[in-house]
Amino acid sequence: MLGILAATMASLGWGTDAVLARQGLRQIPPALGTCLSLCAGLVGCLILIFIIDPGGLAHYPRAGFAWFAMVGVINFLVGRQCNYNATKRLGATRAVSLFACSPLISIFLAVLFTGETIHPLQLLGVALIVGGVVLVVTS
Amino acid sequence: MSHPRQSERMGYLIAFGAAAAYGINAVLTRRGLAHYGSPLRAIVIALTSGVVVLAPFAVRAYRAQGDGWKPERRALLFILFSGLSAILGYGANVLALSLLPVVVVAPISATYPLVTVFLVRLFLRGHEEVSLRMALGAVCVVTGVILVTLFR
Repeated sequence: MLGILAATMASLGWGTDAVLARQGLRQIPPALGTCLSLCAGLVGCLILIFIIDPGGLAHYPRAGFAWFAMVGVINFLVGRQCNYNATKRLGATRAVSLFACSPLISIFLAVLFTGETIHPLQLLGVALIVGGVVLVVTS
Repeated sequence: MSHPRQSERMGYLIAFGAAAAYGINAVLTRRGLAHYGSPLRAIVIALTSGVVVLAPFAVRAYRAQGDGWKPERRALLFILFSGLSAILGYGANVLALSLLPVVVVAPISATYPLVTVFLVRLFLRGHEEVSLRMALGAVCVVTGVILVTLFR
């Protein structure tokens, strides 16, 4: 039950993020907005880690630091900055529908590098995603 | 070609750039967590590196606004709460994945475009129109994502 609740919270959190960002980006440039929003998230997470896991970072493997630093660059420098830029140019609804295509990239990478196979219903899902994107883009 | 149309086309390209980054990131995060564990520490490290690499761009964007420019308090609050919402989403998704299989979590968390459409309808009526076609597109995308992740 907690897992279902958490997954629903994820959907609500991401869905709300797009709308709030759209409002804030009317006046704040995307690069500044991205950095400020990250700072807000970082402060929240630091408070949480000092309560739940104080000193835990000191024992984290160096390779893990490097790995997740790379993840941060891809997710925040590229992903979030593109996210805010696109939200500013297209509006929250169009932009967020296009971001929802990210599982396609994950599947492509999984097929290419881990040898996963595609179920026929997955292909139907891909067609729906592409069709949905076309609908949003041409609306 | 008119400027707004060019800006819109660039917007689509940038949006696909974001989707690509998030798609790659999901694979890397899963792999990283399998090797090193501790989702909260991983989030803090990723956020810190994000702030560090983005700071120069933020400073440049701030300077480009000209002397004496200050963001409105209201806009600032929207951005700060947007950051908290995004981290709530990311953290909740990681927590959900630690408790349930991907096939259960992914379809639920992938419904977020519908949340956006609903909230836009509710709060941004005067600023942004949501057409039937756009809403139908969002529903198709979410249905597609559900099928793709369910039969993984």
